[in-house]
Amino acid sequence: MLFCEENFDIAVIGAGHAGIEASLAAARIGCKVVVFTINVDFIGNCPCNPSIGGTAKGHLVREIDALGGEMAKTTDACSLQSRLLNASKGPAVHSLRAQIDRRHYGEIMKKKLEIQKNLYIKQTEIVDILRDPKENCFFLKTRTDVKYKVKSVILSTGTYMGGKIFIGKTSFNSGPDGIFPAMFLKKSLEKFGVEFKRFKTGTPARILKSSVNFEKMIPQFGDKKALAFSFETNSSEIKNHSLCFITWTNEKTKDVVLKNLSKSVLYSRETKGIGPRYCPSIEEKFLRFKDKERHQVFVEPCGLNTDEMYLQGLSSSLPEDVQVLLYSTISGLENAHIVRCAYAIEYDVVDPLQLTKSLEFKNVPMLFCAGQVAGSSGYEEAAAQGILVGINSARKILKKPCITLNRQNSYIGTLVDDMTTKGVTDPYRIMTSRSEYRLLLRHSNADERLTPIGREVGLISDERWKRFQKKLRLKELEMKRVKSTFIFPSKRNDETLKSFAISKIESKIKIIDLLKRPEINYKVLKALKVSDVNISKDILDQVEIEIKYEGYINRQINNIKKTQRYLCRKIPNDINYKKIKGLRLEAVEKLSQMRPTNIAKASEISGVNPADISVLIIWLMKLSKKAL
Amino acid sequence: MENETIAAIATSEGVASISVIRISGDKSIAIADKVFKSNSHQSLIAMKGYTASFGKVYKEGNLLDEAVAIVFKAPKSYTGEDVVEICCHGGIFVTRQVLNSLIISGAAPAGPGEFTKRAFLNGKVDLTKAESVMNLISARGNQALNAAVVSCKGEIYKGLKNIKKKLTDLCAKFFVSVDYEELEEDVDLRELESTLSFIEEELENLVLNYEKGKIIREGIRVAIIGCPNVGKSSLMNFLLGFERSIVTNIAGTTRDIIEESIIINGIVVNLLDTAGIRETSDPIEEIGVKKAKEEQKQADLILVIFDSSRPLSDEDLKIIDSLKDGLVLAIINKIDLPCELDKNLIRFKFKNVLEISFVSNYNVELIKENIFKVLSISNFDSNQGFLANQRQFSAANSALSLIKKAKTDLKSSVAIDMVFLSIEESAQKIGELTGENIKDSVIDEIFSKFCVGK
Repeated sequence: MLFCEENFDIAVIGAGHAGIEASLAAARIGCKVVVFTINVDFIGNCPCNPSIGGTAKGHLVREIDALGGEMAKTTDACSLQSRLLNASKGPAVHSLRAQIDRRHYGEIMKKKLEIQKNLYIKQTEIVDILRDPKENCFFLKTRTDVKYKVKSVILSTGTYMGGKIFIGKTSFNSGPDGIFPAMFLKKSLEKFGVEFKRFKTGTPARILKSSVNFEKMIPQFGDKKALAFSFETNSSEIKNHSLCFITWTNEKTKDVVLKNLSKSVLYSRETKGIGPRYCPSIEEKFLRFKDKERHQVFVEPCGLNTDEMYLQGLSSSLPEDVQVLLYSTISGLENAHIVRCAYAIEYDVVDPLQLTKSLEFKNVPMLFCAGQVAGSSGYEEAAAQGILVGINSARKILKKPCITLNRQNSYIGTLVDDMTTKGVTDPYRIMTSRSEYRLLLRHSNADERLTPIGREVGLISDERWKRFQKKLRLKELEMKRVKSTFIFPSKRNDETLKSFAISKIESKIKIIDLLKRPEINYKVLKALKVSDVNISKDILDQVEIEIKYEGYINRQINNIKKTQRYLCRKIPNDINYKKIKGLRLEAVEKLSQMRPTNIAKASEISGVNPADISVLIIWLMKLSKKAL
Repeated sequence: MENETIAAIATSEGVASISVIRISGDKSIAIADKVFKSNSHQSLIAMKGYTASFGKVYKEGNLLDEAVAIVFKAPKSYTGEDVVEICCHGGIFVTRQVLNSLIISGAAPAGPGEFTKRAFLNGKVDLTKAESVMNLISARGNQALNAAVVSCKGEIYKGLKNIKKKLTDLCAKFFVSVDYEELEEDVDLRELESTLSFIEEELENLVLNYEKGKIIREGIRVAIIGCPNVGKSSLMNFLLGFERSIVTNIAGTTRDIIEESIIINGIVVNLLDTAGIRETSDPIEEIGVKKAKEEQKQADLILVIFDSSRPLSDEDLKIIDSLKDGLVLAIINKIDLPCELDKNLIRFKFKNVLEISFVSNYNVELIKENIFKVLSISNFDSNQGFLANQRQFSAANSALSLIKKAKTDLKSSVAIDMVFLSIEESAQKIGELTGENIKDSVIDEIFSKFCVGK
């Protein structure tokens, strides 16, 4: 067997969205990283929708950026159309979504990996992982019998591990987009006692632009004033290049689907894979929502240098001939030419209950896992986990404490917490409804929440840090100013307010008190000539939100304080719940199974009641007293 | 780390002449100060540790009781935190009202063993003691578990389930509109408002019924008082349906308190026959009279009896004066004899008056009915449920105020998300009552009700 002379600190298996952020973060922190991919031309591939962001997903992208990741900047660089979602519903649910040039996205990411110091790309398939407990290292074996010695391994194989594609009655082992799957890794990992689940997901067809009749569809435009994802990108650089279109399924479509269900292997036999609830195929939509007359279909561009269009809403595993029939029923798609047909894919997933909050295997130190293989779904969710494992794997090698993102400071923390404490029953998608602190976790304040952490771990440059500090300073000054500056009643002010259909000021009032009114914003203040014109809009937005929603924000902060009283008390890993006198049997079972890392987590487990928690706290106190 | 300020009744809730309500935490003195006003007009905040003050306890401006407040400053207290102990008169009603008032003023109801837990964590009790408390906690915890989750049968559970369902439906609709904006399934504001109004009403009933529910669970203490030989023991025996008290025409026959329980309309009524109140030189009778006066303070309802055949005595007048505004049913007995009593004065002093005669059986069948009328539980349906304890009451109360907040926000032009922050939190509170995780229910609802996805 060959042996690679070069030793690496960290091996990243898979160069998708998780692998990219993981390897870049680890290399930038100072570790020597090797990234393995089956095909270097597919680094940062987007095998499903050609878009980044969306509600809560957009928050993740901002958070990755705030920590020093690349997803936001790359998205900004290849954005085709950008929209701010939920603009009228309140600041906590504002979220960005951008259509992207999918090939360009991958190319930019590939280049970023190539030029990164300390980072090396290798096109090869890893077939075996061996651990040497004496030397505290891993040996990775490639398909071509080359061996690599590393200190830490990050598993980010996406849907490639045990990948199997289903189209009609046909099924074959494959990764997405015709890339061959990783068929050996699972067996290798089972040696470590790793437990797996089988998930499935699907993607719709890509069709040729020239075969679509767009006149029968409703065009969807991007925002006139598009916003950038990255805190580092100037929003004026974001331009809308392309249109999206909406059309709908109808009764005929439903007939075609329901009549041909038996032709799909996924419906004619019991498959093992569990599909995502948030992203049902068109078959499932018609089966589960029988009363819904029609379903939306979005026709989205795949890039500037291609005429392929993506059909959001028509994910399917029906045979190709039925797919053709199905599209022919839809207005505008009557003559659609399928370039790549829709398919479903089954793949192996690591049960995330085996992972710590750093996404490290509890039973295999220095082996990490991130992305779709850890049970999530979506590019953004994968990248979010990627940057976290990249940071923590590197920090462990450098003998620094791991960072933990939590429910209180981020959606990334919420996602990791949900996955590792509740487990997953279907591919996990982030949503604003997953967070109990959404008003604090705004996409617009991701930098305030996470850039200090990014700085601490070494992913934020001096220059960026200075800019960030300046932003904070300006925000503080503006806060002070609105708290101490008065507006007086005057004829001019009355007239200005009247032009906004707002009643006049009766007596002198502080700006802050005026801003608390729902109808007053900085636009009005500007007209009243009491706003500081030198301060940028993003800062003013934060000031306005924090003043306007102060009561709600404080309520959420108080809820956090309550939780944090418990959060600080850690539960040792080797705790034997059976020995704790006074715990109820059900609590012993649940706690032994879930092995919460601290009191807060323990109290969230169903079947563990407040009395059990009291007993646990007292027992932990006793333990620490003995240790003294 | 900031600790929540907690409050609970520290003494057992049985018959006792004094009850202690303990408040512990950073804000305990400030909270107690809102409820307790000292007679010397000194604020509790200005008091030193280990000092006491005599004054009055109020609930929402209404006088509840006279009480003594003792202030302990951290770390010199049982829990090691700032502590105030309010000592008021015993009796479930008053004590609960005081606790209630503290909770309204910002204290959280203490969980089982929470004071001792804090005492232990602050190093105030040693491990041996803590361990014995631990056993106590786990024993009580099993009950607390049963109590935390309202009984799975019964109307209250069904009602809460219904409220929870409505709230999760609302949240799911909202989150679909937000998490899947492209579906353009926006929340119908008119429907939202009417659902909120419905929930508000339901919760309001629940909260209002809490006091009533306690009476039903714990029974009511009914003290029979009056001057000697007006017919107290006859009343007792009539209600019991058998001869328990010795009835003679000799004043001062009943010297000790005689207590018996009966069930009327499914409610436990603890009847207390007391010594006739009069100045006496007999030391044994004097003790009885003293006890009678104490009972008077503890009882949930007082049946005061007057003799129609004689004018009001000084003692009668003293009794009338001592009764003031509490729940009282005045009974004018011996109506078969020629009337010498100033009935108008009685009617002027008491809202509820019933004329009877045990000799001629006049109106006696109305006594029970009147007791219930005075307690305003005459339409009691034993199938109806009630909140079981202060914790549940507190959760329902917060749920209600959050719904009110959501309604107000909806009317002003606040962003819809803010309205739902309150609705969601309210749903969480209901979840505490039904023992369910609302977040998971909402997410399940999103996926099962709405066709979302790419």
